[in-house]
Amino acid sequence: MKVNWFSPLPPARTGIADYTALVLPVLAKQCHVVLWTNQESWNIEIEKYAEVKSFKPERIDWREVNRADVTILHIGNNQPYHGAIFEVSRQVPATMVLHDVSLHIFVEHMFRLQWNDLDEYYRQMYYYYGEKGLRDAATFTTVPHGVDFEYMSYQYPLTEFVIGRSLGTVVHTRTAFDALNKTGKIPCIYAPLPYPMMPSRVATEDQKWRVSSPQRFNLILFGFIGYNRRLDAVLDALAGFPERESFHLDIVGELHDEKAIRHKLERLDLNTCVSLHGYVSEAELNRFLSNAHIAFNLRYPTMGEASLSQLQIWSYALPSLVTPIGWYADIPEEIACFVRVDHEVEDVLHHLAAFLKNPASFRAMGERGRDLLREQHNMETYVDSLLEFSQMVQTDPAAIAPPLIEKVGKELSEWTDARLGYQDIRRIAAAVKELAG
Amino acid sequence: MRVVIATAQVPFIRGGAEILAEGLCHAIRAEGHDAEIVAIPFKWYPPGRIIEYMLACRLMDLTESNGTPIDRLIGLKFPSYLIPHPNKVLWLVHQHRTAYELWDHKFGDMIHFPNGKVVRDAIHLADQKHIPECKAIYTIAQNVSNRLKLFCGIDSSPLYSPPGSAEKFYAADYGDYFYFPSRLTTIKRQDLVLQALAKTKQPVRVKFAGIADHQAYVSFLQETLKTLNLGDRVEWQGRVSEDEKVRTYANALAVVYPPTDEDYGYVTLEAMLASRAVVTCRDSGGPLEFVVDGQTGFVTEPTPEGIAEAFDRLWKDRSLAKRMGENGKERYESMNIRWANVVDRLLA
Repeated sequence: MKVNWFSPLPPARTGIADYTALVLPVLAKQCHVVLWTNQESWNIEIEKYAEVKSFKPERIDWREVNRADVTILHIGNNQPYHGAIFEVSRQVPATMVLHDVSLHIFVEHMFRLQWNDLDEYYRQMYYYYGEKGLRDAATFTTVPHGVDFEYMSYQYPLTEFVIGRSLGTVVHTRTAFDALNKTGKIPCIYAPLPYPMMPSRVATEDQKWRVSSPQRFNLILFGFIGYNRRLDAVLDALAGFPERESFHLDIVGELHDEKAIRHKLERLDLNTCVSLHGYVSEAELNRFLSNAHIAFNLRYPTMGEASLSQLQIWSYALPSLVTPIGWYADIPEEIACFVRVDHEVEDVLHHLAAFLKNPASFRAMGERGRDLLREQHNMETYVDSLLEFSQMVQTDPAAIAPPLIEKVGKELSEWTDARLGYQDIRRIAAAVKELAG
Repeated sequence: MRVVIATAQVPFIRGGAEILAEGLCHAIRAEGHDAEIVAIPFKWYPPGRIIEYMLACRLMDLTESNGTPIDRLIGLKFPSYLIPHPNKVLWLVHQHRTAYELWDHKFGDMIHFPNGKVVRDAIHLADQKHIPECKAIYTIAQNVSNRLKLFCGIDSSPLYSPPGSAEKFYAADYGDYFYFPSRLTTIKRQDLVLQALAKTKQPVRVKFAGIADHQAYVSFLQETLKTLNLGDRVEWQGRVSEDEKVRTYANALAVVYPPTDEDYGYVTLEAMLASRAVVTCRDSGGPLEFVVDGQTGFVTEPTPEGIAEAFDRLWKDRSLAKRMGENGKERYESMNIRWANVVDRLLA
């Protein structure tokens, strides 16, 4: 089988590029993969698994695209990375993998930045959400601090607009599946975000728990660390924790506001138990994760997407503290410690104290996380589902129906009215249905 | 019997399929029946258009006309054969070829469109579903039957028909040119013949007849002619009358006809009727059902060198050209290719 795969590619700093890098080796075992990109460069490593072809939305080699059996497009909220892919989705019927549940920000950026057509954005908001949607869209785009993006994302996800021309949609969360499946417009499957099991990580962890049990325990917070990662609350909790010297927090990754964080560390006198490492190589990150005992993976707000970093945490059998909203809300309680949005400091303090009292129970929690990863986020199962679903929807003859129905409906409506008999309409509809299998 | 011959017509384009429809209509009338050609206009680009024409065909009612039943519908070309009729017989000229053997081919166009695959699959499905609606399934050539079996798994029988004005063809002296009468279009490969001329050792000449589907191809041929410096070795006759065509066949040394995977190819049969040897290629399709390599002509590789070698052999050995031409005539006569046979089968 030959598969077209449109996605950001490493080293693009987006989780979706990382996801592609993880899925690729397994995907390539089953099929010939063509990676389509509009990036100037990519990690040469991926060419071990796939052919890489460049495209621009306005100039794409459709012959090459059509030579594949299925086409899979990846969409997330980051317009610079997904704008061109979305343009492709409006032309070629394909499977769309949604990496974010609410795509409002992506759509608004497409209309404002890529197409320079806010009027059409307003029209779409009116079409999908009526007068209120239109009013809020106008406020959002014209009144500073009128409504924030979290509100717009939550109230008006615009997901239906994005998936409108796809043949099928793949989502990584149960919530997203329930929401999309309810509309019944486009076939949809829920395939839990996959992550490869890495057996080599087990030995390191065993050693870690033996060596450091009487010493300091390592905490880690990693990734791109913006406001939504709740670092402020973590630092406040740590500063207020009486036995804070029992922990050392490694902050690994780019900080949205490093200056403010450094200032805060100074003010809270946390410099001895917190280290800022900035962006590090994958190998270094692996080392930090291998040595960690607890990971912080708090999010607020969240767009509801499944978290690749949480899967990475579980691959190290690390116990973790998460915010029980969006995708995280579905994590069983025995597999992660919940930190409520409005009780962050209190809950972090509680979990740190519990850890010191019984580290073994936390270690067991991390191991249950790894079991969950093995059972529900299996890479091979994911790839099988994705390919099987894509083949099914992309060979479905019904794919020709929507444009035909639209055209027939438009033509008929221009020169007929309600007096046209039911039987006549039925005959036309039957002919369309017949052609669409 | 009242018979409708349903075909598809690209306005202003005339070729073998149009001649075949007219020949059939004439032959049915000659047998004492009423016959009429119903030609559906057809445009195949962008691919979404094709689906609309298919739908239009499915919505057509040709079961009766002016209150009188139509007894038989004979479908010829895609998508006209999708028109429903309780007594439909298929005499397939060809399916929509760029959805099949020409999909990923240099002559394929549909593959270059983002929705090409969806349209292709719809065409496959419609053919698989609606061709079996026919009471009997014939094709114009074994080549077409082979494709129908290969791509749709549908059995059919070839039913050969004579070219128009078959009775007019005759043989005169073997002259000093090869003849290539056909539409000027990439799939007929007039450019390949020019390339071959540039490779011959003998001063071989070719007369081309026919008009172009697209001016761009004419410009390309003219450019090629200039580049290869073929000068007066090539003659362009353009549109010719039936009489002129018959006369030019009759005086040719031989005929060259190297299209890409032709469905049937009246040119081959016309050459045989005029007792002319035919030079064709291994990938030319229909002509291969008639040309016996080394007996009634040459079947060469589809390369300038391959065709040039056949040209040189016939040019040097005129008696060979004559002998092969006569063999071709004999073969034609042995095949019993007559309209009466065709009508009998299609109206049975």
